[in-house]
Amino acid sequence: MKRLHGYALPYIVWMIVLALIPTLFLVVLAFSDLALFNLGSFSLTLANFSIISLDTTLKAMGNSLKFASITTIICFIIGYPVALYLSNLKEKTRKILIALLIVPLWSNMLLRITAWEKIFTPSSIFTDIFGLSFDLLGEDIAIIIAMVAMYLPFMIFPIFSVLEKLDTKLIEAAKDLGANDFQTFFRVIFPLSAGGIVSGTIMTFLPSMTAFALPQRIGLGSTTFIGNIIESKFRTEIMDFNGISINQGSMISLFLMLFSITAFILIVKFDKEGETLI
Amino acid sequence: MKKIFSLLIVVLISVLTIGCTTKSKLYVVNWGDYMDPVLIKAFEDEYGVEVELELVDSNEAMASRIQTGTYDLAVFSEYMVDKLIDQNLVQEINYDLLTNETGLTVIPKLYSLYSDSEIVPYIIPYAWGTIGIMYDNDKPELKTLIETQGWAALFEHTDEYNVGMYDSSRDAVAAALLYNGFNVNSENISELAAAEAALVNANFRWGTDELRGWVIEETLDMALVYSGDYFSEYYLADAENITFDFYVPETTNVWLDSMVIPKNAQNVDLAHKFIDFFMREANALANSDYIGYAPCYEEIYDTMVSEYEYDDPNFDPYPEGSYRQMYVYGTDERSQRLTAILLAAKIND
Repeated sequence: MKRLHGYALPYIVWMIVLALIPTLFLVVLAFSDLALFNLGSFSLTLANFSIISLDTTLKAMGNSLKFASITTIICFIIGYPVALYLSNLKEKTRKILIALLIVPLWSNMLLRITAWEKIFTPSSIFTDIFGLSFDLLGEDIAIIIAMVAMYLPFMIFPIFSVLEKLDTKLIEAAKDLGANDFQTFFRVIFPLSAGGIVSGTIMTFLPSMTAFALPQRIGLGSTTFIGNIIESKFRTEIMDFNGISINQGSMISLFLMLFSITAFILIVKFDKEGETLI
Repeated sequence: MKKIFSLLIVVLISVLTIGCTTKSKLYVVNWGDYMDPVLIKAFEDEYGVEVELELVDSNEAMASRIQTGTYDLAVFSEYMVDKLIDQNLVQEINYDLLTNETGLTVIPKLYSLYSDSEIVPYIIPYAWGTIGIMYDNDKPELKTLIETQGWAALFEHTDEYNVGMYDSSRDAVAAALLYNGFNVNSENISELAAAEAALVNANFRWGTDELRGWVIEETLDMALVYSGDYFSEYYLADAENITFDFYVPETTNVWLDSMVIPKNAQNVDLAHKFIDFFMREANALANSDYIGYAPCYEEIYDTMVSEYEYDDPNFDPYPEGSYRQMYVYGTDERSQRLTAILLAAKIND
């Protein structure tokens, strides 16, 4: 086995160059006045911290949390029954249905966002064919519909993968001991799928919280997410702030990373083998 | 193991060297669809060089390119050139290397807008235009509203209409300042506060390049756009069936895009040859016809109007009897204030 270790080298180099070093840079930028485009001496500072407490940052954070929570709850309400249904199907039908869920994920997310954008325009393809108009662009409800459509599979798959592996003997035992369907579900199946629910929740919540292209396109930019603030810190404010905006953007990014790290710890706790992570 | 690695290295080196030719290269960074590719090809053939064109979608993005990379030529708007000079990122044009520039005259009323600015020695004007209101012309009452109220139409009717605002601090605040009757470069605290209030109170949709598309597909009724945004759609649209129009209020801003040479350009000589090539009358004419925006030179402008039928009333960015202002970069504090205003306006929508 040892002889094969060398083949991991490209991966290790890749991770160091594209993950480790940038993350270290992010930390340094967040806590210093280092100018990214003019690397030189710098001093450590906590000045960038003030960006977090800015009214606009807090409101954007609030927007992100609100929309991500609503999306996650809706995904759970729709996703759990679907996962349960899939896990009880015959192998063949199940494969077809899962393919129907997975195949759209293979297309680029921006394409799917654009598709929703077109559906929500005043005169869409639905207007031409059915005379229906979903003139919802710019509305909160449009953002939520599109986010649910985008992230629903990430709720379904982890729950499904737990339910699928569930030992049917446990369910039979519950029934033998006199539990009705209702009791079997709430006292046996549901608690045993907790790991999948945690993974599903995190995998829906995190990407929807950090979304920025979707609120820009579907929300016509009228709802600002924290991702939009980071984007503007790195893309449009650079020259205006002599680079300071990058340090502020790094600080917000780092702050967001706390959520990811917490999520990771939760997953590791609930799902030690990582079987629910795709 | 060793064999595999040496093989990998050989493959890597050969991949890296493919495409390397002895031709010298000119690195140009420009906005999308903003230079006639036929002319670029002609330049390459004439001088036996290669032009590497990179595209960006904002002045800020272009600025970060020339901060981090090495380019020989870029096309910036006036206020950014101002900032680039402060940051020592651009060099003066060497007129000794140009032969054709003398043949063309910058339109005097355009020149009057920046003649006393420090940008003059650094720029070769490329195209100019205004900001204005693009709207859905299916609604006659909207047309009347915009033509009678001007900027107020954008700011005071966001409850009845879907109105788009440019997601750029400088342009959004400029529109709000113009609406309040102030200068686009105002540094006055109460004037900027009034602009902020106007932006916060209105309920806008925010976008950049998307805005014009949203007006065309009727998601928006009207939006603030650059004249260039309007013209590029206007030339593309089926002439029989144009559902949008453009209105330029009496007082507005003028933007001026210019070719500049970055400080760290490797091929300064060739960059000047490139400028010179685009300043030949025939080429300047062909390029202006390709991009469709108002050319900065009298000779070219007149030919386009008289012979190329560019007679749309909005084609002239500075018609008789109108008032025009041009951005200056101003202080960093002001820029930060503009950014804060934009964020406050967006977050409250």
